[in-house]
Amino acid sequence: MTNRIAELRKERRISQAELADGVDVTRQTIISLESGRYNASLLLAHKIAKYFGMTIEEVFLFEEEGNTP
Amino acid sequence: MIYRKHTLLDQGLNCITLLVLGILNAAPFISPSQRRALDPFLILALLLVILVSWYHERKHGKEDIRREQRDERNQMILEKSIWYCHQAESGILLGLYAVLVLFLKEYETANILLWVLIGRNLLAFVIRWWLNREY
Repeated sequence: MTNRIAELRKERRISQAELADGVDVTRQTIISLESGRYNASLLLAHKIAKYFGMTIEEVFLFEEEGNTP
Repeated sequence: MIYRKHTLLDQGLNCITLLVLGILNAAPFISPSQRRALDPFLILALLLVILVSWYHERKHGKEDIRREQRDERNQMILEKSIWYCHQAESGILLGLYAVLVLFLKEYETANILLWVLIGRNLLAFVIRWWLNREY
């Protein structure tokens, strides 16, 4: 799963620490999310999307595994 | 039951404390007289650990520390590391059991080790079964 967190954060001139404070996680978690090393839970994904005023699908890009029918 | 997860610093400090205690109390290269002479340093070391923990809490604040404890990525890392450690422990205990029985012929110690292994695995199974019912 990829995401647009870094892109959206830079557009709004928000630091990683500010975003971490806003969604109540550590800055290390934001760093890991942006680098793709960690996938957010549904709850955290919802909090981040709500923070940016967007839907989950607009922030997180789900990749299908295997071929779609 | 209080489910408080230790921060990485808490766990590191616990390891250092245990290591210092272990070395000072059980290291074969330290004689009993040297051990007694080192007692004040042990107390100093423990005070230093408490001081570091207090300084960390003052510097970051209770809210930051609570956030670090609640953080989902930290929770995932803690749970994975404990699982890997459990697996490694099982392997080491089994290996040790084999060495005691096959090479050292220390059957009494091997039996104690076997019961530790059995008890540990039973406890892990019971806790997992209980959590499966809870969730």
